[in-house]
Amino acid sequence: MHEHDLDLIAALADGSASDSAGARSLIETCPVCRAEYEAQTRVLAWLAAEPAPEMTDLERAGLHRGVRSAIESARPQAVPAPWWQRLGYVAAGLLVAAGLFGVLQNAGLMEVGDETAASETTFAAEGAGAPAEEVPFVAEDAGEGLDTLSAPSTTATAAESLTLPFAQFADEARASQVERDASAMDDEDRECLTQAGLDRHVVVREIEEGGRAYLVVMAEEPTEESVVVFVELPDCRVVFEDR
Amino acid sequence: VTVPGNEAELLARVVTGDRQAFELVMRNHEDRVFSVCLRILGDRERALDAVQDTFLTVYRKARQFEGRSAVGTWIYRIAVNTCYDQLRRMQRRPTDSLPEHADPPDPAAEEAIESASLRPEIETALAALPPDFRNAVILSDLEGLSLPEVADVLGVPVGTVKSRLFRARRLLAQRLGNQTTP
Repeated sequence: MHEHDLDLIAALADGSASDSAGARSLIETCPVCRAEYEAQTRVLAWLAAEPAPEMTDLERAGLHRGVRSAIESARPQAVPAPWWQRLGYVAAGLLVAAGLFGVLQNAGLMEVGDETAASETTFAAEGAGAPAEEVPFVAEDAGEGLDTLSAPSTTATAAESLTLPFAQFADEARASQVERDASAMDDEDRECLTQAGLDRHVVVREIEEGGRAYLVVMAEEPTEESVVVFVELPDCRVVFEDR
Repeated sequence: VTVPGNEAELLARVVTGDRQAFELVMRNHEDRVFSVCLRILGDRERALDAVQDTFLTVYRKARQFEGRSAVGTWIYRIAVNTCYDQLRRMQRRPTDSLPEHADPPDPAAEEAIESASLRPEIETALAALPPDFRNAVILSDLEGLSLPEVADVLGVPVGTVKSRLFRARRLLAQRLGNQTTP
């Protein structure tokens, strides 16, 4: 008796056998094969008799409400702007301030040290330098049922761009179908994952973003849908999860 | 009746932000996704969380659907992976309390647990199977997906699915002994 024969019998039981005649003759001539056939058909009958679980109306309503609310309230995670971008904001602010200073001085409206002008230059610098911290994922029909959820407004594109650095790294990590295993990590990585509560995970790569270093971490057997976790160094703190 | 081609069109509309199309996709699949998640996770609250996460992923990643499989198969794959992730998190933090919900207790859910969950002996026997075997049985024998669909959802060849199913049923037969068919 080979395992191959048992698999043939099992396939006969569930209707997927390519050689039904051969399987049937095995059942007739071999007691072990007959027992296998009976066991497989018995289990199939038990499982087929199980009712499909159903959601209650309340559970279904809660699910719809939860999905709707999550979509409507989806806001970008606060991702610190990269250092070069922040330098750019400061430079732009200084340029505006210098320009304003020049214009006012030429017009004879300001003496150096004038407090009014100083406050104006500060305002100008802030206006140029402050990136939008949060751009809501606009929900036009908040409060309505799932049936009437509105399409995301174009504002969402701007909002999503703020999460782009992490989301992009996460997509790359998934796309590469990480092959690096735990043995490829050094002790420091392993210690950091333990500290972050991510024992059964692997470090896919290390990145720098906004002047900070992060470990890009996935579960030991990653799939295209796995959650990608970003752990900030040197604190070993989970700061972002991309699902 | 949901025609696969129409489902792909619906998903294409979801990419453009059409939430009515998203609602239709969700309504077409939410029952089976719930059933799969409940059978993998064994807990209604966690299953509902997984269903919600699954459809949020569908909404976010609709543009990544390439049409190489049916929309349903793609969604069940997301659902199974979402459940895997949730199980990993549970293993990592076994002392986590159940998810908190603002909703009051649902009396109908108590009845549903009795009437729609697996019989305890089958649930126990299934729980004792290796996870890969258990998921093959859940998708094929309990949810009725075809072998190619199960292979697509689990990301393994059809031959591997068959092999897992045969061995899983063998183990179940040993555990369940000679119980009579209900």
